[in-house]
Amino acid sequence: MTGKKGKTFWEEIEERFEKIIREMEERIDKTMEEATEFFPLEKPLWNAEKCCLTPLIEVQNLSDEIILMIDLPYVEKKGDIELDATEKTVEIKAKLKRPYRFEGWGTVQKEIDFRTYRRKIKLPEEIIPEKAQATFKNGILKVKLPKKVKAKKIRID
Amino acid sequence: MGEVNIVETEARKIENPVIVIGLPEAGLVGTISCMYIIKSLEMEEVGYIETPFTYPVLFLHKGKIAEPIRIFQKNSIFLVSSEIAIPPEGLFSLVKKLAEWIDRKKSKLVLMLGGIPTPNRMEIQKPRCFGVISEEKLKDILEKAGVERLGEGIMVGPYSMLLREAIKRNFPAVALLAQSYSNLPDPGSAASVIQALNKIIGTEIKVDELLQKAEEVRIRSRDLMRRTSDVMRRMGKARELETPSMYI
Repeated sequence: MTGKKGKTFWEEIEERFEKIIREMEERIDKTMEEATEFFPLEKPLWNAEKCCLTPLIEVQNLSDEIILMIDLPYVEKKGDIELDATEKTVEIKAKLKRPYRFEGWGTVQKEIDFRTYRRKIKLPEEIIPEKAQATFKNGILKVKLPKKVKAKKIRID
Repeated sequence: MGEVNIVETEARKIENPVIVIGLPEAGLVGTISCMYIIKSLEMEEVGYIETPFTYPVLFLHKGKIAEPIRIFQKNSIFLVSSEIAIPPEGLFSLVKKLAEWIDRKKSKLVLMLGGIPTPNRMEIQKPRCFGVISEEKLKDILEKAGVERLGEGIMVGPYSMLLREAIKRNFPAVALLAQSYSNLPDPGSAASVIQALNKIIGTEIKVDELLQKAEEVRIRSRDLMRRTSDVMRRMGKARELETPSMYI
């Protein structure tokens, strides 16, 4: 049994199914992008319910790698940091050395003991998570993420 | 849109004052160093700057209402510090008004405190401080203080505009800029700037406490840094990392 362009019925079904999955993935990506954009000014940098803070990030997008500098004041050692990477995202969780309270700030905020940093970062380009490297010094985490697509050498005649 | 107004709540007639300026920029170096100088020298609040562009914002400090951009004074030093990121569309009118005020004060020296975005900042233990001067005779001041003059580069932001005004109006101005993070608050860089300022105007501000409390400063500066990053992006601050054209 053949359909359009000489494809079998099952090939057509498979193609349509793949298209639906692609569209769904794109929608999920878009939602993730909205949820994890770099500097969402309208969102506070803290979450009272989860007692967590959003760390500041400086991004250097170089030709072959992306470098993230993540500011983690009050995080003492690398063992208190969890870092997960996919091809498109980096997620950080880190524990503060002691609960931090912003004395005198706001109405309810002054009563919150912030205990962790959390942030999911959508990367501007795909990376190779297995080759990612990180170093932690003076409360700043540097993450080097090699890009997936590297420039190919062109022969000059 | 309304005008920028400089309001002096306490009239202080000081002849030829030094005027220190710290605006939020790379690493919040200007703002962090000014906050620390105000505390260390026990400076008194003597005025503020009204601006139509800093949004309907007021600050509360220990229950007292405070303007976002304030003027402080101690002995022969005035200090202007902002706790709010100044949008590019407001810079021109603010700098013009500030320059007129400096002119009226007949300032003997204007010192602008800030940072220079430095990509390998994490590897730098003690950030170096560089100087940009509005007139050649100021190079001796830098030399005596051991501050290296910035030879080539591109400056973007309020200090570049204020230096231009300094040249036009003929008041002496120096921008003291230390190596810093761009989008992360940098108390270490602020300490280097204060040490350079000490050497230039003879103050004896110890930076130990600033360095000890660096984590506290960083965790409390996150929101201002985020807003400042947005403003710096809009004014094209990344151009400071570009190579300047060469005259051969």
